Amino acid sequence: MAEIMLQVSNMWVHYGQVPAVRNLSLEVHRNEIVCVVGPNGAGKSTMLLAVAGALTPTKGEVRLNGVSVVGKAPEYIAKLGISLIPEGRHIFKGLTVEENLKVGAAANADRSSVENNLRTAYSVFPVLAERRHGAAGMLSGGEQQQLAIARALMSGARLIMIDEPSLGLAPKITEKVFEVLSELRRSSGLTLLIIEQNLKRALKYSDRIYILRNSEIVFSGRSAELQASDDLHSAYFGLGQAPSNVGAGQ
Amino acid sequence: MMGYFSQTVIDALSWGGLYALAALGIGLLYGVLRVINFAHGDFITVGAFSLIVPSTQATAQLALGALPAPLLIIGTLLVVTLVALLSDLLVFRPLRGATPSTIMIASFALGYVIQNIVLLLYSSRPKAVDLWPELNEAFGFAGLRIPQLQIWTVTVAALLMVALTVFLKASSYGIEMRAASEDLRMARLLGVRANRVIALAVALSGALAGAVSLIIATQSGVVSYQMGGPVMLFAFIGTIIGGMGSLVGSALGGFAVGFSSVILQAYLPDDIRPFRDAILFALVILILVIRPQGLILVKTMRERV
Repeated sequence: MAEIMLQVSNMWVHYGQVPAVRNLSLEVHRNEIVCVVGPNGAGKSTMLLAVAGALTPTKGEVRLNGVSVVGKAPEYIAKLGISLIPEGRHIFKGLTVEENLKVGAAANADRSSVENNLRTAYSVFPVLAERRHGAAGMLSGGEQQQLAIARALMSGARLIMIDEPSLGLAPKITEKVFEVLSELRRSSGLTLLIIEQNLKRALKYSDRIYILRNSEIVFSGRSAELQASDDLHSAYFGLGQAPSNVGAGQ
Repeated sequence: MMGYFSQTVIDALSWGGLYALAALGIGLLYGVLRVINFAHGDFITVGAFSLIVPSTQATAQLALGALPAPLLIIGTLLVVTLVALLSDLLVFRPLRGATPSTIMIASFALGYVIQNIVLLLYSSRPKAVDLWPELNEAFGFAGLRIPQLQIWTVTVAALLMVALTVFLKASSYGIEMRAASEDLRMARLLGVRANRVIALAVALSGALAGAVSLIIATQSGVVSYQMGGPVMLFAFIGTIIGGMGSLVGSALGGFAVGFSSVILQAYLPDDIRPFRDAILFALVILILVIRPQGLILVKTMRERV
């Protein structure tokens, strides 16, 4: 198995007194696609925000390539090679497409690679090249998702975390976005941690999945082995007991 | 009659330009901190007082004011910028993450502290500062008599706005600052350093305050420890009617407030003239009733509406 890139151990995140993530452990290996699935309010977005430093975990450890990043500022974590595309994408709508991409390069210490990355971004996403001087707020949802991905790539990040890339997109466009992500994994050796609502789609594109429900991981396993598992569906929908084989496939 | 009108318009342009600069200073900081900095007026006061030697005597000795013009200008801008950066370090940075209302109240406190330090060093007596008397000489043009200072004010205001626009649009710092003022968390997730981008906005806001101090000190020839207050009030109102969070809006709003106050002063009937500010503020209320989002709609807000 490839080396561990991101390791989250026993992480707790609270909003005031209320725990939003409970004792969560998860790992992502280099060049893997890992999906986290689970119903709304399970704590998926909170988990990603805590890993990226936008929220501070109350307990636990987060290591990126072996370096602890708990309690570090988001801009510091970004410079270590993580890029989070949060829920809703958060495109800078008042900036042009190209300006959005340039802000994406803020974490990139190597300023000379910025022009290069810009060219790469435009060749992967030709629609962005066409609209480069247009306001980002005028892009369609699918184009904004492409911009968000391209912007995350501008930093030279090796691990990209995406919170619900399918949000607000037509199913056909969503499939395209996942195709692009799979292709980027193959061609540029990226590692991806993706939150997805749709279990079927998560299984189709990921190497491994975690199911998060009521702030806890209730299931994890290799996607290929899990296509038709009943346990999986009961874990996702919360029917009956949580399955006993938590941690299977690791 | 035509002459009176033209002179009034030039006067109005110069006050509009002045308030536009002050409002821009407030708008810049509002962009990244989401807080109106009520100490901005006192930054302006500091700039004006840096021209004279601290003393409680009635006649002022020139300090920075005695230097040749280029040094004097750079020196004043530097002093105010440093005071602004120090304020960020001592007041705003420790309060990072506090609610905007907390930071706003802290900015009031900061303003009072600055005012009282000035009071302590210079006494409450207004002092005469005669910087460039020749600028108050009129310049004859097409039958008009225009004080040179007014031409300078309009030119300086316009140049500073152009420079600021170029900085915000063309430099990577400027682009990061605009991104941060639209969505600070997202900008940080992409690696934009919050402390640096805020310090940069604070420094620019301080430099703009310094420019305003110089213009006011030259125009009135007097400095007093409360001189920043009224400017702050008008500029603040300008920022609000311009649409909070939009720099173009702040500049336009500040300009509109300054411009209309001069026009009202010139054309209101004599009996009503003392109530000029009341009428001006009534207009502001009217604008806010008709267009509560301000004159310029911020793009991020448009999405949410």
